[in-house]
Amino acid sequence: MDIRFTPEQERWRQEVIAFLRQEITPAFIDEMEAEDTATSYGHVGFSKKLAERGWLTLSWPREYGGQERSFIDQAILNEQMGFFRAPTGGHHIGVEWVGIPLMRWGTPEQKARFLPPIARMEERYAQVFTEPEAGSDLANAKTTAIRDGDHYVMNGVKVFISSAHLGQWLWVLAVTDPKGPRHKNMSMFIVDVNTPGIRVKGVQTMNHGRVNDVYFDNVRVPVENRIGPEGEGWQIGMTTLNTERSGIAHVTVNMTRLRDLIGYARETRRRGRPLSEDPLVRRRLAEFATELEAQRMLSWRVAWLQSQGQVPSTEASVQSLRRRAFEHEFANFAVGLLGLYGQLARGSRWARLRGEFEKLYLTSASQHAGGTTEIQKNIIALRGLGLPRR
Amino acid sequence: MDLGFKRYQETLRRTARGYLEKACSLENLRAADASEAGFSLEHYREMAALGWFALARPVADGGGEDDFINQMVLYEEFGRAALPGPHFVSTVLSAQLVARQGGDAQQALLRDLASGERIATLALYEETADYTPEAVQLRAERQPGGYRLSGRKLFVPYAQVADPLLVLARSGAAPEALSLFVVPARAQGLALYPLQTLSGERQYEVELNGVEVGEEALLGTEGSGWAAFQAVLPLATVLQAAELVGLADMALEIAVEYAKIRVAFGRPIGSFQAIQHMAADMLSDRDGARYLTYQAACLVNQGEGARAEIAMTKAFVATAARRITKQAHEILAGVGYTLDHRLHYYYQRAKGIELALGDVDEQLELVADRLAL
Repeated sequence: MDIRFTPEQERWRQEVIAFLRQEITPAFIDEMEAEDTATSYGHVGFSKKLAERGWLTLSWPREYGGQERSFIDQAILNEQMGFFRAPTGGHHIGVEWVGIPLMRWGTPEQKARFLPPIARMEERYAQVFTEPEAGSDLANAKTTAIRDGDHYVMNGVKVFISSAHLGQWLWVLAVTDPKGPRHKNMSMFIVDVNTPGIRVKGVQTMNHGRVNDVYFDNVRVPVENRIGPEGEGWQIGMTTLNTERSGIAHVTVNMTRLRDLIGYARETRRRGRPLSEDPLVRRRLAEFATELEAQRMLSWRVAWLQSQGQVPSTEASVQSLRRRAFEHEFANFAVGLLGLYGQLARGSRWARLRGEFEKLYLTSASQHAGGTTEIQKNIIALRGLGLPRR
Repeated sequence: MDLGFKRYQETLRRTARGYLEKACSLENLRAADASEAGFSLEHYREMAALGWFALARPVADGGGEDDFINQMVLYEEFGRAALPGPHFVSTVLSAQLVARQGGDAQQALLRDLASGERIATLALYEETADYTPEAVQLRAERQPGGYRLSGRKLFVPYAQVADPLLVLARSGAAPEALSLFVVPARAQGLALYPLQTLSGERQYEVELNGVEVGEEALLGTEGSGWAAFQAVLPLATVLQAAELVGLADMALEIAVEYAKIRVAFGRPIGSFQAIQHMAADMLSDRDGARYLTYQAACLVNQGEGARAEIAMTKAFVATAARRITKQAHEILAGVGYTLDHRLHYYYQRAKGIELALGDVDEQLELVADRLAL
């Protein structure tokens, strides 16, 4: 039981800090925000810098161009990326959600074709799972991919698909055996977004973002683009084994936001005194700092479990749920502290703190990507505590 | 970054758990309640013989690498068992103060505290019930050969079985001009009155009516009492947090086991989502509490000041323990509400521990101070 880093880990941490200090300048932050990307779609240029250093694929096996760095090293990188608000959205789907399953299930040809461009940040992916009738109940998906000679013919509609408008490839979960049993009737595909029959239609979200409806109308997908065996799509889609799942970057981003809010409280006066002297403000800020510290340790717990060769089941979920609940309360309080200014978005000349809390307030209305809070609590209760299903 | 325990520490935990399951059976807890002392002296001596009450210094204070961490493990288990007794006030608070401040004359006392031969307590709080040095008004007047102590202390744990009582007294005008005195139980002018408390732990009002003590009763130098107490507070707080984690852990376990077997409307109540979601929240709080405590224990072990993290830890853990024990009561409803069930010990003890040495409000104010607010 010792939370200190080894000398090598500490050296790595300093190397990461030096890089981030150099890259995440105020000018870069302006540029990043100007890219007008929603839900952390990131900054391709920054991802490419990570790729150049081999940091994009830190977790990948060496045979695929990775560094096989430990989960602790990955978490060290992610912890600092969060503190500096570095953009990770540009690459994380490709690197984690596509790259890892590809390594596990792809053929040598598929790996050779798809992995290197992911590692070099030359190709981007969208994760295409959700449907109108298949959100929480993803196994109820209806988009079909029916075998026809050396192609599959894909038909259906996918919704709430982030970044489908930004990348070259779609990582699609579709039903290949309509009569087959739940969880065993789907397969995973890599689909070129420019394939005839695909239509990507943008949908605006309440937090200044964009998601997409993706329509498949008799889209012909080569058999070589099916990843893994037919019927194993569900299992493949759920794979996140090799990357660290601590969520620590989200925690440290919030710590940086809190630091900014504290600075604001010190500099801003209300009713004749700095906000930072108001007992209620002090208390809430202390509570937020405390909660974030707990989340940070819960993140390290996940990274540590993985470093011991264990597969976290509900531990990552526990951390993630705390973050979601926290963000709404935190954003609400921050908007309140900013008062009327709290309703101004970034870009307004009167916006305070770069409109960050206006956006966070909107984002935190519901954070359901990867599973609603209620579903995750069900899973924690059933799998984490062994409570009965019926 | 290692959040695991060594194999022998897991054995220590298992051994402690096995012993405490029997020592703190519901029957034994009720017997302790009914007894005058409020705990079983026999069990206390047995645990001391197992070495569980040995002084555990952090590495930074010269202790072995694992001593303090092992003690943290034991306190988690004490919490799981809802173990009553003066172990904390005697073998942590008092012993650590004596170890830091005392000279050769106090070595025998230290040995006796660890062996359970003697029990010490610490008389800190007074009528204002403030956690500040200014609140200490009990006077220590110099006189030939020693001091004369006059005043009243409240909320003194297990004073009735304690000999000596460590008393924090005012020896000067400056706010922190406080001194610690080792007062024998048989001293003239000492009067004890029991207080009935929510937690069930025995606490006392202690009156010192011109209690005279010799020079040798002064622990450390005059005026060093507050600093000594502040130096011990971080490690004491961490062990409180560990005990609270244990209390919360057992409350969650009791609630989950009950929800699995209690049938209503034709199915176990644990199959209803309302219960499942409460249980998920309880697990989340327990885990956050546990890992914050582990961090705090490591920081104290390494001597890293870390006042902010320690305060955060107690604030979070005490809140979590309250919520978890309360939700456990909701799940058990009537069944957990009577004295025939052990659950009330957890809810009640959690509050008692929170109040001792600075409650949630106090801890959050400490955090706010350190956030550069």
